[in-house]
Amino acid sequence: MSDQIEEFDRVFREKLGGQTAPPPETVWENIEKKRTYGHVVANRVSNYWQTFGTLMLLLLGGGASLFLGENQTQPIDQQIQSLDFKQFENSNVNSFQTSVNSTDLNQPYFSTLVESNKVETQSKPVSKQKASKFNLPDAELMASIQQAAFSKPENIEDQRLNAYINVLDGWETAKPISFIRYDYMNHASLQPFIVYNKQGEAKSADKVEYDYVREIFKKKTFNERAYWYFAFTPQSVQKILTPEFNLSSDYLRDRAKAENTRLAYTVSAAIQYELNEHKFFESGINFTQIYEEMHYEGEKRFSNQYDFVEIPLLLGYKDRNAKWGWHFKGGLGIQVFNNFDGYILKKVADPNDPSIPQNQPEPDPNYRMKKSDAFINIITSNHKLSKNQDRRGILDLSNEDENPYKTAGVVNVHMAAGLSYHHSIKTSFMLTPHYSRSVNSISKESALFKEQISYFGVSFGTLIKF
Amino acid sequence: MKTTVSITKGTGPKVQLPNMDEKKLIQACIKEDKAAQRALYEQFSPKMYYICLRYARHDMEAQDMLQDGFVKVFDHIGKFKFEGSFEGWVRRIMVNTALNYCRKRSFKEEVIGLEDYQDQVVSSKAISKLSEQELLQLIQQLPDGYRMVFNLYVIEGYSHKEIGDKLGISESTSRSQLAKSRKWMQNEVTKLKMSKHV
Repeated sequence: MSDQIEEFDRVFREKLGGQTAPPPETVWENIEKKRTYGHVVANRVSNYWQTFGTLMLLLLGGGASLFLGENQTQPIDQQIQSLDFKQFENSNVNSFQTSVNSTDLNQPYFSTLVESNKVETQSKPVSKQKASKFNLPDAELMASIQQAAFSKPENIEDQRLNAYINVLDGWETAKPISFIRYDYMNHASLQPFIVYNKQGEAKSADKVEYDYVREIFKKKTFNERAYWYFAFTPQSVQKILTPEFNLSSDYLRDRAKAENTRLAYTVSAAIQYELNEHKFFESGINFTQIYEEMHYEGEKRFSNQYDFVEIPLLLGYKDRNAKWGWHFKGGLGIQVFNNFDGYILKKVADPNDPSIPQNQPEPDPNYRMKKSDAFINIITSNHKLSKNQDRRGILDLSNEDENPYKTAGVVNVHMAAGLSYHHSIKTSFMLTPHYSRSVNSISKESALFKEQISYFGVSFGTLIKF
Repeated sequence: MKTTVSITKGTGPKVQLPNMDEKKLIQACIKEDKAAQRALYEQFSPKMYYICLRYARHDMEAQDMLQDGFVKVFDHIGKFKFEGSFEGWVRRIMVNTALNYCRKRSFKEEVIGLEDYQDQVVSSKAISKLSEQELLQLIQQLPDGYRMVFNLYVIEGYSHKEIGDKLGISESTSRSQLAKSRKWMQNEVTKLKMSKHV
């Protein structure tokens, strides 16, 4: 009997195995039509993604160096020397005098003083625009300082401003300008700013002629430019599954039904480095965890855990007034370590296979993992199958041979924009809606499907000055 | 000296195709060279079309399979590692594309009604007398699921385990579908033989 079956098969194999048939010409025409320009470009990018990625990183790096280079083309000391301070000072004295007219200031007491003797006032002149770019805080801040520094103590809301303001938070435009209240000029702490007469005696307040004192410009040090950034981002996760050319879409549909994300978050620790007043570079470590509920064989449920460690490389822009600000940032992140625990479906449920339970109930849309169960799962990392669940129908993600996912090398694109509240010179709080998405597949080349993850969350962050 | 092969398109002008060796042809296809793609298509499409015909229910469906298969070949050709046979690689894509086509029609619901069929074995001589066209038609008449298993096992030479993995079914299901398709085809051959005698 088996010989006859083999003979039967052999006839079919020999007669049909190596046959050919010319397809109609329309097939080629349809192939050409179907492979559109976008198709071809996408294919080229996917074929040369490593080159493309390198190019992107170079561009990003190039962009960063441009950002960095913007204020460093001329050493800061040279910039200072090239300024015509007299011109600058005159321009400010005018605005200052206008602003103090409303106060009880005795205007003649004030005139310009340049604190540093390093500055040559006869240096070649520069435009007002350039001078103001360098030396002035924004108009509102300037006005409030002038108001505070030169009004009567009883007119100042914040009594601390009575003494002096010699440090301003902000970028190079604001910080070097120091204001001193005229009637505190004999105070010991103001020694560097007190004007001495030719005999070496300190002038009393009513005889000092100045309106403000400015320190020499200094290039900001690393510590002055750098901030710690810590953030917690609850995430909403969406998996984008695409079958490879040799996989049924049924499988992915079954997986989408079976896997339900219940908890996803990212914890970030990064350094934000100011490239200039507005632009910054941010990098550090993002740790993302995804917990999901797995519906498999009806009532049996367990949880999967995905851990991703990523290095973000972001460029951003920020702006602020005294208390509030806004920012946006974007760039790439490279996942350097991925860990997977749990199980995913191996193949389509087969109604003809007696080993797989039939009539599997649909997942209950109202079902939520009990908080206590979720907590226990997270604490104990317990993502094992129950005794009743059939091991054959699923892939064990913790088994390297079965795990279809990459353990590193996934690139994510990041985009974020949000608001900041500047609580103090040292600390700011940020609220930042954040979108990211994997550019390449998180599954291995050998996997039968491509999987990308998109994340959307709101980051609750704190920026702390070094 | 480099020779060229002329191919005339249905309505368009003559296309001069380079006669390259296979590796160069593939590399040119990776670079999206149209002429190379056409040459590759001309080289492999007759064989692949016949494979599709075996999996399809009719010519039109086979043409769709061939078309989608070649789009995938050109999209994924950069993934070919130049290890093993390129024809085998293209063939796998065609077979898998054909399988996906069949699966879309939910073949799992299909069952052959074999209740009235007798357990008879047709001699191989009787089958070998049938033309290739008749055998092909027999295969095409099989329900999708059975046709896939029959093609994969009998002609492509896959094992039941491999078929199970490919189709997402168990080995036992693959065996049972193959047995049923053989039985069904033997009955059909008998009917055909009888009708010829008549």
